[in-house]
Amino acid sequence: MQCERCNKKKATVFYRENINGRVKALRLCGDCAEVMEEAGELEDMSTVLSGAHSPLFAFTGTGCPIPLWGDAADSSKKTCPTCGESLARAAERGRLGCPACYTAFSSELAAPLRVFHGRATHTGRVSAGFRARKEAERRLSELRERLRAAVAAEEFEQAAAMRDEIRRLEATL
Amino acid sequence: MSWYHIPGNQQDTVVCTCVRLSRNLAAYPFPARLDAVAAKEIIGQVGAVLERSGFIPTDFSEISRKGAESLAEKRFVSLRFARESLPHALFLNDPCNLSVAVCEEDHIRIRCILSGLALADAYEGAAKVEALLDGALELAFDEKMGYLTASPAHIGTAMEASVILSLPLLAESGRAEGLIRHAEQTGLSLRGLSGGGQGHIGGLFCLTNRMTLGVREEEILEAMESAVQLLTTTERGLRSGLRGEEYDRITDRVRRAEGVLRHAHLLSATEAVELLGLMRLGAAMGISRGVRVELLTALLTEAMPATLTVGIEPPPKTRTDEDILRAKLVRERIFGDT
Repeated sequence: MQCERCNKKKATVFYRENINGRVKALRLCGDCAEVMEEAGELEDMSTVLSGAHSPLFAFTGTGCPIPLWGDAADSSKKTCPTCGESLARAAERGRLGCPACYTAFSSELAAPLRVFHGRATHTGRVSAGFRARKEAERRLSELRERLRAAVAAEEFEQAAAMRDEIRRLEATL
Repeated sequence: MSWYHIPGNQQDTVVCTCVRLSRNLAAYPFPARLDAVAAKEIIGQVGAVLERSGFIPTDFSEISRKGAESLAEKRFVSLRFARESLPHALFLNDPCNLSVAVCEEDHIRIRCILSGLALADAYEGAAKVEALLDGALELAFDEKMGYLTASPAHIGTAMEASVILSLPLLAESGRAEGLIRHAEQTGLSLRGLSGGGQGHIGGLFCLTNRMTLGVREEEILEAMESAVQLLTTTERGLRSGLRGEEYDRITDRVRRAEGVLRHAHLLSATEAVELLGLMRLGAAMGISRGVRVELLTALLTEAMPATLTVGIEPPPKTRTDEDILRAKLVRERIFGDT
């Protein structure tokens, strides 16, 4: 990721500011961050400091829960069709009910996720199981296409072999 | 033998490194909405894979509350998890540096904990365990959102890297607040271990990554590594820059800490952390001679309330009894006195 100010150096500083609900996020290189900071162009955000317990337990937790949703979520009647968790309860607890909640509440989650993480799309490690499923799906659609062509060309022996392969793949998904 | 008995890299300033990967099974609700039957199913599925690879299970329904809290003090599980009522389990490997907590806030939390600074090794360790599970179980993963976690604050890589640092001079220099802000600006969080009021107990700090979405695991580790270097270099600069009276004052404080640890009859957990921190500084600066730093790291865990008293019969009845036990343990371990 390059610095959004000079577009030359690697961005090492991530800056977020929230002024009256308008959120601005900037990725800067160290030099640009310093220049902008000195010029007073970067308003400092309040830092969250927790860790008020003793002894070492303060370090074993996951840090403070993040309030991710606004007031709108509190009055919402929306629920997840898979697990039944309501948006209001999820917002209050800062935790979702099941993996499918991410799809059910995707429109409400989009903005807060962007504010918190600064980005909206995953770029890291990909689950091996997911990769295998994707590959099987790709192979399936390719086979279905070839099956249609084989039937059209009246190559029934080949078509039968493809149909068996499709059934086998479908069973794995 | 546990992770905290082994000498680590840069242990003059770094206590330990932990990389945690959170994973969930696609077919189940997150633990907060699970019933006991489903929780046991998950424990069975995850356990079957891990036990084949030599992990040893701990059943929380069979250990005392103190035993569970001791596992939290050793950083294998979160304290909340240790006190949880839903069925949950912990799997540990033999050298006790890899742990898998099942049905914590997420279904699976893999932790690799190593002494000293070891971000890359800790990630590699955790990723290897993840690969075992990923092949055998269907994990909740979305192309756009990455690994799906109970808290939206952890989605994406669902990785939390943390480094515990010993920075006593930095804590007192007044520069800590600026460095805390700097960490925040680079997407990290730096917290001092505070006793509820001002100050940093034992000069201990915890550095963790805050953001997990849209950033690769390697980028998180790189950012952590540079932040650690900045913090440790600053601390070392302050140490080597001590001259004259300043040096004498620090020497005096280290020696006094040694004196208290050697002779105290009562020692609270907070005081132990504070004094062990000073001894660590003394050992790193060559003021305290013949003290192994890894022993001080081990005591940061072994002298904590649950680990200190677990399995002791009869258990200490009062806080005073506990403080007597702690003073005795520290005295024996550091000075060999009985």
